[in-house]
Amino acid sequence: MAARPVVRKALGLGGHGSGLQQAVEHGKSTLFFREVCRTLPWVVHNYKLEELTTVSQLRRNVNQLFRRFEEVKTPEAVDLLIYKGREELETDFCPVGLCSSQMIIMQHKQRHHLIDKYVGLPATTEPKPKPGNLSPFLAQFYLSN
Amino acid sequence: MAAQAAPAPADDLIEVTVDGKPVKVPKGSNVLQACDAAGVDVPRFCYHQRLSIAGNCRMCLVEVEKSPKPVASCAMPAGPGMNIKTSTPLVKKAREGVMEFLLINHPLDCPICDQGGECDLQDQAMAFGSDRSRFTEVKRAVVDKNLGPLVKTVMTRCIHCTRCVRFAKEVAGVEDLGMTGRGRDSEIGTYVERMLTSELSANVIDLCPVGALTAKPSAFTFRNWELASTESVDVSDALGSAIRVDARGPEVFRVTPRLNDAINQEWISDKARFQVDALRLQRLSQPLVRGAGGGLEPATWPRALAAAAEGLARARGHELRGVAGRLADVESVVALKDLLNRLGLAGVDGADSVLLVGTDPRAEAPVLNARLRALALAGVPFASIGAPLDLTFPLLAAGDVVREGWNGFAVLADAAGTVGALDLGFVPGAGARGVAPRAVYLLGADDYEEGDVPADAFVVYQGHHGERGAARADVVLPGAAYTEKFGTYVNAEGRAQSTKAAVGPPGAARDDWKVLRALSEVMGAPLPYDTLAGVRARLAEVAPHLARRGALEPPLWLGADALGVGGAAGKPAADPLATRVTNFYQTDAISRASKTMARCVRARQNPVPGL
Ligand code: SF4
Ligand code: FES
Repeated sequence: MAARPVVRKALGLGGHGSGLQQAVEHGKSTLFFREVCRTLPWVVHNYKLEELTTVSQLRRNVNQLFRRFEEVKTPEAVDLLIYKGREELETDFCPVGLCSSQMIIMQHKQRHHLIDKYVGLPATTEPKPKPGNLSPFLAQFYLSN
Repeated sequence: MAAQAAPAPADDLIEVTVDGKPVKVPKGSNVLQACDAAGVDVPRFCYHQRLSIAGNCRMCLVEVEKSPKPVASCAMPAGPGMNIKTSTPLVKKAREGVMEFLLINHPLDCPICDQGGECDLQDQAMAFGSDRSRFTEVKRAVVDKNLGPLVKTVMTRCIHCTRCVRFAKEVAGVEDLGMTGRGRDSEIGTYVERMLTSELSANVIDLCPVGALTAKPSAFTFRNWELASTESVDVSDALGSAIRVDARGPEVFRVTPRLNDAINQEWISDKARFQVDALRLQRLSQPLVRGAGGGLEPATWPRALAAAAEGLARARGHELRGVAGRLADVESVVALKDLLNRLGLAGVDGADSVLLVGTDPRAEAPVLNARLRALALAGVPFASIGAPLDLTFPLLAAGDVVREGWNGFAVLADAAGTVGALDLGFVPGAGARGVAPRAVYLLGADDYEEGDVPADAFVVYQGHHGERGAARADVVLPGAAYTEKFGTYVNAEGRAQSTKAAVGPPGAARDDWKVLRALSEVMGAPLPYDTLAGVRARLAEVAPHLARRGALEPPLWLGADALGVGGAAGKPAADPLATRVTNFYQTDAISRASKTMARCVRARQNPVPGL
């Protein structure tokens, strides 16, 4: 998924929508989130992910991915994010009906793509290490292997 | 371990001509070896350099001057002055004919065959076969055999090269496989339905040139061209076999042997090959801290390290104990040793006869057993003291083997981490004996003695699989398994070798030495190395031979004093000497977490299904 600042920059957006719009967008993304959740049992079964994760764990991870874009309120940006999300899940509203890039539902994504992107997420978000009293080694250690 | 084949003296060489190019080969070579020496590729199915010659596939036909017919090069000894031709129209026609016959009864199921992409028949049909067949009858079909939980069979694909039969008989030493029937009714099988009994059985998967024998646990899960290979070292036993780890994305899919004449030749044990499914099961992927409710709860690294530091700081001097597990690499052991100190704490081939004491090489290191068997068949006398064994070769009485002035003392360690830890002097200091520890650091140790970890002690467990150690721990720090890190292991002979990372550690897990390095900083006594090279430099300081990778080093600790045995004080033990490995398939945290290994244990108990 595209990083939020990049999306905003590309669209030349400020990021402050009105209260009314917010409510509408919230509804849209919630609906899409529910739609994703409904496919998860099938995804877990189809990609044999049972041995690695559970549906509820996966739902938590997807939820986190959604929450990463919590502050995006501009309707165009939300639409774009949902569009990209749907493209990831399945695309059947391609404007000309030809170039469908149906990724997960159509199994264009392989098992290891899903593991890398959705299963491997650490469940707890690591707090940013405080710079200063940490050695460079420890700072790097907290960030990644 | 191996006496390398010494280059033959010049007068033992003969000269032959291959495709007009003269080459010198040792006397006793066959025509196929002469072609190989000349760099000419001859197609083959049944010939294998470590097995006896069967000469039954006929794919290796070449033309030899003055011989009226094409000859099977693997079965024909090379003679001086022979003129061998491999690219004449006669040879081409012969190969096409053999290929046409082989394909008559071979199914066209490459798209659903697990061997596809690495199949000798597929490759050679492309290179040497004709593009059409004259066969219009019905292809034969053969009933698949059930060979147990490791080897999947699709017997219709078999081309009767008998490599698998010869391997079982000659290398593994079990007469499990054989051929029944004649002509188009011949079948490879086990006569009655039973599982393969050898611990090396899965090597037939690599040997089978077609898709008749494939890996059952990983059937239909990958194509070989999707995998990325990493050359590494096995840690399932103390032999340190050379392996190739094949991974797709973040998952290890298969392990295959790599050629290393000095250690495992080209075989590996079933455990080394098939325990890898455990690398995705039961993993510790994030730090855990025992919460107020008594259960382990997920935590962040800073919090877990702080909790560990606080608990460990409560112990003073000898009240702190470190236990290194069976799979601990040398880097993390040296880091643990340095950390504890900072916190205020103190070859087989070429043998003339062999005596096995309280050991069962078949369970502890099956590949070694196959090599011992080769020695035994070559006439070296073997005897065993201890519990009775079935080693697939005959044993003599101990009295016939031991002679005056004989130094045959060698210890077969039973775990990959043991020798390395001993080399570093990771043994209890004098002061540590008799003091009940208040804090224990378990470095991947799941097989600790109950007495080493008192009930009231604070326990930190660092490792990759959630098992006994992690369940007992107050803080769990996730580490990396052997396919996920660069770690040095010393094998039973004293050969230091390094594993290589094929995939990354899961979730928030970190390399083991890094965990210890980070913990040391949190405890206010930082270790003086920040990089792998730094740790290895420190290793070289403590034990210089560990820096010489791949070289053989006689173990320093291998004396009667170090082991606390022998001398006048040596008393015969009350219980019979027996191996500690009672269950070959499940010896450490990884193999115990493996579903495939569990299936093997069940199959072993009931080798003939339905009986
Ligand atoms: S099963 Fe494979 S190795 Fe065995 S005889 Fe048939 S083709 Fe050869
Ligand atoms: S390789 Fe020579 S006959 Fe098979």
